[in-house]
Amino acid sequence: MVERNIILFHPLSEKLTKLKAELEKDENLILYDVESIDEYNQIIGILEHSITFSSDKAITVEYLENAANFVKDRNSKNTLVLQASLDPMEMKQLQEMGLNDIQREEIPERVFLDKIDSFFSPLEIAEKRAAELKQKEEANTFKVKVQSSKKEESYNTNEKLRIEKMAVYDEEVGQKGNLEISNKSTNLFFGNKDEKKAKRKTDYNFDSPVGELKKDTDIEFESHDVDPLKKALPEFEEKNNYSQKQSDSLNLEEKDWKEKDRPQFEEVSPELSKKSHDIDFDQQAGEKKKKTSEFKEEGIERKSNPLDLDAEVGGKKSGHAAFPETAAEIKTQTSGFEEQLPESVGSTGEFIPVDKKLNKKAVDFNINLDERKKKSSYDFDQTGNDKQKKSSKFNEKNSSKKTSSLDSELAKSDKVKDANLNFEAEGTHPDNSPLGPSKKQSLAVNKGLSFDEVDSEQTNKKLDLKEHDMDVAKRLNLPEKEHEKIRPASFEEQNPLAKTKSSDIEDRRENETKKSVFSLDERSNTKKSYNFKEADKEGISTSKFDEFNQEVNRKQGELEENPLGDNLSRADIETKSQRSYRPGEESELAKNNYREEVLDYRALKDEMKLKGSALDPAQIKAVREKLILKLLEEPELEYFPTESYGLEYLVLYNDFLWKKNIPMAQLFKFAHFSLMKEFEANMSIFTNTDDDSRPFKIYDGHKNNKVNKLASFSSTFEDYETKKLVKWSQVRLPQWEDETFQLDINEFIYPFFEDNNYIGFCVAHFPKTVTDHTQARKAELFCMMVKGAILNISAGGGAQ
Amino acid sequence: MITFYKVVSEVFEVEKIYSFTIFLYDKERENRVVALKDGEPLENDTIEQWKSMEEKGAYLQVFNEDKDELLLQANIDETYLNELNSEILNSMKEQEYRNKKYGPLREQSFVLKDELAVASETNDFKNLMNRAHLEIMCFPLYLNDLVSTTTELVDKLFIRDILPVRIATFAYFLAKHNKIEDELTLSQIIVSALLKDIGLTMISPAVLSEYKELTNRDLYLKHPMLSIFVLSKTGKDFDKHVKRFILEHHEQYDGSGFPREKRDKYIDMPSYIINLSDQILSYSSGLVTGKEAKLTDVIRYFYKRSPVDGINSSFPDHLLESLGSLLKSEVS
Repeated sequence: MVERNIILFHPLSEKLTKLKAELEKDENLILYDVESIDEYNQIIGILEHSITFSSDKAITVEYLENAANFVKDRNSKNTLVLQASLDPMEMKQLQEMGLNDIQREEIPERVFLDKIDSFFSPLEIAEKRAAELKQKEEANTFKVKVQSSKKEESYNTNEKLRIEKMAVYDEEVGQKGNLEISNKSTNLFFGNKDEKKAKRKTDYNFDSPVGELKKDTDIEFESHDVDPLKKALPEFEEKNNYSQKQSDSLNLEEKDWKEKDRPQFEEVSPELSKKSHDIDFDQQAGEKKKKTSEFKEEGIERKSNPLDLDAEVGGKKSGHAAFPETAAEIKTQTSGFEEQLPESVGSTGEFIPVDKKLNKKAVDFNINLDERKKKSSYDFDQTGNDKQKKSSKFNEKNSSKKTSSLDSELAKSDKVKDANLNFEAEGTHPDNSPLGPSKKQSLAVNKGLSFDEVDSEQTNKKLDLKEHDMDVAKRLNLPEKEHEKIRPASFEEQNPLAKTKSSDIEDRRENETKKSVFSLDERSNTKKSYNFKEADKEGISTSKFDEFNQEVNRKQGELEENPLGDNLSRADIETKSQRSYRPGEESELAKNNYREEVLDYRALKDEMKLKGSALDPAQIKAVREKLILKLLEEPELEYFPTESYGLEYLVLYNDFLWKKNIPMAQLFKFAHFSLMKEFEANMSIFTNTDDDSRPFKIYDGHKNNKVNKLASFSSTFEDYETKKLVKWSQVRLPQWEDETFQLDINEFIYPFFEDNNYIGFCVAHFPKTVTDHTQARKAELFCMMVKGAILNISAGGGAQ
Repeated sequence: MITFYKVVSEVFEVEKIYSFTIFLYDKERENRVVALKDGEPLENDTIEQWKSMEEKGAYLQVFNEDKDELLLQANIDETYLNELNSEILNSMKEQEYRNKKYGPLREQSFVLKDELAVASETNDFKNLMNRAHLEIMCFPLYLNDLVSTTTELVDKLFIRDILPVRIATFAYFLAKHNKIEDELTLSQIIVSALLKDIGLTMISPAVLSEYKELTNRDLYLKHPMLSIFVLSKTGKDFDKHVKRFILEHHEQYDGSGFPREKRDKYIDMPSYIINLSDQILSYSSGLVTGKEAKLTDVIRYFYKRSPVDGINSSFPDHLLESLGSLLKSEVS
């Protein structure tokens, strides 16, 4: 889940203060009030995505400069809210520094909210898609396992066995400290709400004692003003005697661990630590390695303690996802369980671990104790749910889902999480194993093995499983050959995840025909029919397991090549899984999928030509539609004409004006030259200071030009001029003889005025070189530019 | 690479089914819609609508990947298609030609300070003008119509060593020196620097005979507005920034300028740059005093805020400070 981080740089303007109040209402947003650059630098470095608001230009410049590495990427957005608009230069400079947005104070808050939403929404969608893709791949992997009919047949037997074991364990364990662990976890679970924030402030103080942890947690709640949980928590703590139970449970847990588990697990730990490497569901290899190295010291308790899971969740900044909103809501969530829980669990044991990281965390056996105390929380379901377990494994799964459905974010958005929940419910709680301490140990080992199996795509499966099984068998006092049965059993015990996922896929395929949304409830229902199957321990030998493992690897590879597996029919999948995988081979569907993403229209067309109907018409149509949508948004590429509008002549003319004693005739000549050059036109200029008097020619451009198209016209111009002169002098507006520009010789009259006084005109003739109004305007411009010179003559300067 | 080929409705036939999608682009609204989906028959009503839209200035388009199908299925050959798209195809060719011609030259080293020193010593602006010319000729033609106009003006004018071109050249480099790098703003500055005085064509040259008296002549004080007026006669609606820079090219930081006696931050930075360039080059060319002066000396006058007659050094400090780094002997 993408965190919606909003940084508000103080001092806040009135608008930003209002905006802050609005933002505080939105629980999806995490607000950071920053007052100094140093503070900002610390925060911006660790936030994945953020929007920074500031209302001071100087401060904005300062923080943009200081955090240049962080503010210029697409993960952050910087908005400056100002009362007055910035001048373009400043705006440009700020934009270069990384400022994305400048807003005026008068803009309503909702616009800001929309902008915030539009920034984070695509990120969230992208993350969701990535998660879905990952789940698809995982589901494809496990599909192979589902196809094993043997396992399906053996399910009932295994389940029965397991329930029996749980019943035995219930009697043995009774109301041990595990239940209290859950109490403690509940409280810590609360702390998760703001875990990321807490971590930032507390600097991951894993080693702090429990008391300190509580303090930290409290601080967090206090600082989170808008959190409804803040109000709910004290009441809840009081009700459930949170502090007391927390410390008690921890003591008990530690005691149990020291007395029983530790010696045994220390023996097993090297193997398990290897496995924890293998199960690298997330990209936290470094962290896990570190944890693994601590494993020996910490013992196996961590391995099976879901508290560790929570600690891991904290490390992943995701804690609040599974957070119940209020105490009342928590009660609602848990009411379904209370009947089944032992009294010692009471109202605190009802929380079911809900977190998408759970399955990963289940194998983080080696987080140190303090860290676990501080941050873990998810030990509820297996501690008190013995009866539940007895009655049905499904109940466990469903209860997890119920809890998860209470969490809006997790329940709605993340399918992977859902699968993980099942996994967690089934395989992560060895402490509660009905097999007792020693069997618990074997179960733990089994889990390790099963994880290893899940992670079979990784190279670390090279682990010597046989040797490990022998070791376990020895500790369990099993006959020598019995160790061979452990692995298959444990593998199958872990396999529910695979099977559940596989069943999900199948259900989804079935549902695809109905085009229905695959809701969480639907999934949980459908899972019932495909409940995880425990393999027949006697029925599968190690060699079979290895064989199966190889098969999984092979088919997994094949399915990986087919990311669209999810869209295939079951028959398609089965057919494909039966085919041998050839490296480098890319299925048609995979290709289609690729095309869908990049919209390679050309490639699609080529393939259509080559293969004709071999491609799915629906997919082609989909691609085409996507392409069309994309094309509709494609900006129109426009090249602008390199047109100067004749302005270069004006610039040159202008330069003449600055020359000392420039003759006016030269200016007229230049204007004439411009017309000749552009239009092969001739021009003559007349002045007339008195309306009654005959116009006086001050420049004759017709007579002297005999080289252009108007040569013959020029020779007769004098007669023509005599006839037309009076008429020309009566023209008071620029006038083209033919405004459609069709005449072979088009005449243009341009009269000059100064202070509403008529001062003369120029007449020009164009040998059909002006063909439109654009050209006509250019010609008018050339005629117009002599006005100053005419003025000069009118004032008595003479044409010289 | 052209994305869409412009086509006309006449090339399509009623009742026919085309295997490509036809789009309709409304230039005014900058909006593209699907005119006809591939595989759907073209109906008479549709084609009538197209014609009606074409009359309003919209035009049909076909995606470039569908060119082959278009030529195969519609009544159009390649020549006609190119003719319909000649404007954009020619512009693309022109751009390609310019990039090829001026692009490599642009990579050659150029030290403004050194070139100014040379120009100052020799009174030869050729190198500076050439450099500005080739840099501007690489401006993209698809950016803005003003940018295209600027490249054309520069191509025609920067071969002539005249005062307006010198001023525009200096303004261009001074703007770049002050971190104004985007092509549009630079274009605005160049065009404004070139055209700022075209309004003088409306004034009797006699008014301009005495430079020192100019500020006492009402007509001269109006010339920025007259320049805008002349500019409007081109029929082209020039960028509002260009108009602003022209109007402000005689305004001074302390309000001592004209025509509106604007001051301080109310004057845009490019306007200051144009004004400063104008004053430096005018003074250097001898227009102010009747006596030519070394360019670097004049720059130094402004940099030092020397109380030289005929110079108004009322500019923003940072602009004058930036002149220091243009002078070889000064430490910026």
